[in-house]
Formats: sequence, structure tokens, C-alpha cells
Amino acid sequence: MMLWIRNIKIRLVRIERLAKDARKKVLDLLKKGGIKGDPEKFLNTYLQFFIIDPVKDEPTNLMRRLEHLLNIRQRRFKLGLKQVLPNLGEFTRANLEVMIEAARALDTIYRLVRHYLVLGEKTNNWVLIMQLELEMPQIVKLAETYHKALDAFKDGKPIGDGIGPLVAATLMNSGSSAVKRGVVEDTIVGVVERKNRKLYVIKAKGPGGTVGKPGEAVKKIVEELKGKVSRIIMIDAALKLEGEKTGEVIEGVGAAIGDPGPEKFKIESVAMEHNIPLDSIIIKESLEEALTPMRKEISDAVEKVIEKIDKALEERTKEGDVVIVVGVGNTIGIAQ
Amino acid sequence: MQFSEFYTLLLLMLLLFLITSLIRTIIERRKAKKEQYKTRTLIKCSKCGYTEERDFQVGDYVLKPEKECPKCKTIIRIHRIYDVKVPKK
Repeated sequence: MMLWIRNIKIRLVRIERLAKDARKKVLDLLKKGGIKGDPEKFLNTYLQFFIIDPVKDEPTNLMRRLEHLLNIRQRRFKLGLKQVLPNLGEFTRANLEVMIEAARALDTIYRLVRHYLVLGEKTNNWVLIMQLELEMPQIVKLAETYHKALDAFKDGKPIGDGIGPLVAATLMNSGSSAVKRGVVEDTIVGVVERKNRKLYVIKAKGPGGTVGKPGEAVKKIVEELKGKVSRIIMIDAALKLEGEKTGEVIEGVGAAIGDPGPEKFKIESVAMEHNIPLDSIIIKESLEEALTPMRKEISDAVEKVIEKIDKALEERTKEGDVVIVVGVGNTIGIAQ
Repeated sequence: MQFSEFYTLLLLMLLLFLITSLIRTIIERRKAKKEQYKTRTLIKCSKCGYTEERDFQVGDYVLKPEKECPKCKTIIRIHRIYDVKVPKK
């Protein structure tokens, strides 16, 4: 047990170093942006900011209650940043917001590991210590992933998760020029002709780091079109299994979106209500690849995805049909 | 088995454990030397297909207007930004 504790402590020091470095990077950026007030105090408020899950025993309106809480949290974050950094650009502020999220994740990992280590030592619980020791390599890898992600967010580089918005941006700018407009908060829709079909292409508003509200946008567009939509095609990055190839493109059905629930629920509901078939195209990548700068293998998948979209348009829709294409993911470093 | 033989055996086992721990640490450190990546920016002309690749600069983003195309004189934009593996020396 002593050897296990020693090993955990060595790795915990590494996680602590990563968490402190992440904190330093965020503080440096806050100072560089000309923060009003004490940056340490500001960051501390948001590093341990929590959200209490809504009651699940009573499922009535569960998704709406969860969405309400998520919206409050998001608005509070945005408003807080805007108040202390009023002169910073909208996109830089969005990137800073995701950086704080990554630093928060690292801080949580560090505090949790330390908690279980101290608890195991205090209660002499060797099962707890053994479990922690066995999990440590994966926990350290996760912490390193979040730390690497910070640099991408700081420089505004597109990340692996941005493959959905990248496909959407490519579609919006290929062939006939798209008419673009904001549809809901942080979300853009571009209308473009392709294969004699009318495509409503939805993505988060870039190039700042945001995922937008694709569910709300799909709902609004379907309602605007009074349900006259032939198909919804969703494009998203998905976690690959170990041994699988990065950038592999595969197809399926259902709402390809990894949000906490409300956005996915809206897409499923509106598709079901209007009997619209829901197709999905996913691009496989690991968690590390999803959070760090986009690898070339992932970027090269754009053309393959567009080929699949074209095939779906030709085989599963008719000329003149209206199709919604949604590029899901964080649009950092990708405009429209 | 005599008492001294038991201790010798115990010491040998301890030595074996220490050697395996050392080997494990060395292997883990070698693994830690991970692949290095470099971010590149690809600029492409949508009209004539002219392409140019350079190192990423802070402020770059996909679809950012860059400069005039040296071939057809239209404004070219950033087409892709991606990480490529740096070959090991």
C-alpha cells in the first residue's frame, strides 16, 4: 500500500503542476487583456463554479429545466467576462471562456485525486488506494490532454472537435455563395444550393470558441419552413475506440451531438414531430485529438464527409427538396 | 530451510522487485518522449486552385482573407489549419 501511495503522490505532483500552469496561463491572459479588478479573485470564482443537476426523479420538463440552468451558467460566465474585460474582442473573450473551462477541468481532477488519496490514507482503505493507483495512468493522460488543449484555445487554433463546423463552413463557401444569418445565439445558418437541393447549413458562429445552439437552430429552421424538410444530416466528431483509425468517416442514424441533453432532445423531438429522417455522419478521433489542434488526418476527412453528404442527397432526396445540414462542435479558429 | 537461506531468498526477491521497478520507470520515461506536432496553415485560391502552406501565426483562422492570388489576382483565404507530425531527428 505504501508503494501505491508513493506512486499516486508522484503522479499527483505532476497533475498539480499542470493545474498550476493552466491557472498561470489564464491569469496571464486576463492581465494582458486589461482585467478590471483582481484577476486571482475573478479566476477563483469561476474555477470552482458549480451547477446543481435538476431533480431526475420527477422527469417532467427535465430537459427544459436542465437547459434553463445551463443557459443561466453560460450567461453568468459571459457577463462576468464582459464586465471585467469590456475592451476585449468578442472572439478572444469566447476563447478565454473555453480556456477557463479547461483550467477548471484540471483543477477538478487535481482536487478529486487528492481527495481520494487523503481519504484512503486516513481510513487505511487499501481497496480505494489500489483502485486509484490502477486508474492513475488514465487520469494523468486526461489531465495532460486538458493542458495541451489550453495552448490551442490560447492561440485560437481549430481543434479536432471542430470538424463538424469545418465541414459546414466548407459547404457554405462551396459552389453558389450562401446567404448567411444569425439564427439563434452564437449560431449561424447559411442557405446554399447543392445538387439542385436547397441546403440550410447550420454551425456555431466562429472563429471564437463556442459550440452555439444547434438544437435550438434546427428547431427554429424547421418551424420557419413549417416542417417541409426532407432530411436532417448531422456531422460531428465521435470518440474512436483504441485501435481504430483517426479520421475514419462512418454513417448512421440519430442526432450526432454530445451535449448534456437539451440540444439533442430538441433535434430528436422536432424530427419526430415532423417525421423528418435524421442521418448522422461521424468522424472518429480520440479525446486527445478532439481537444488539441486538429490533426491533418482529421482535416482531410472534410472531402470524404462532403462526398457522403452528396451521396445522401442524390440517393435519399429529390431535386428541389430542402435539407438541413448541421456541423456540430466547437468552432474555434473556424469562421463561416 | 535455514534461517540465513530464508533471508537470502528474501533479499533476492527484493532485489528482483527493485530491478523490475527500475525497468518500468525507464520504459515509462521513454514513452513520455511523445511525438511532436507543428501547426501549419494552408492557403488556397477557390478560383484557380493555387495553394501555399506556411507555419501557423496567431490570429489565423479558417476562411480569413489573406492576400491577392499571385496567379488570378483574386483574394485568397485560409483553407485549412492543421497539425502535422514533426519527423524525429
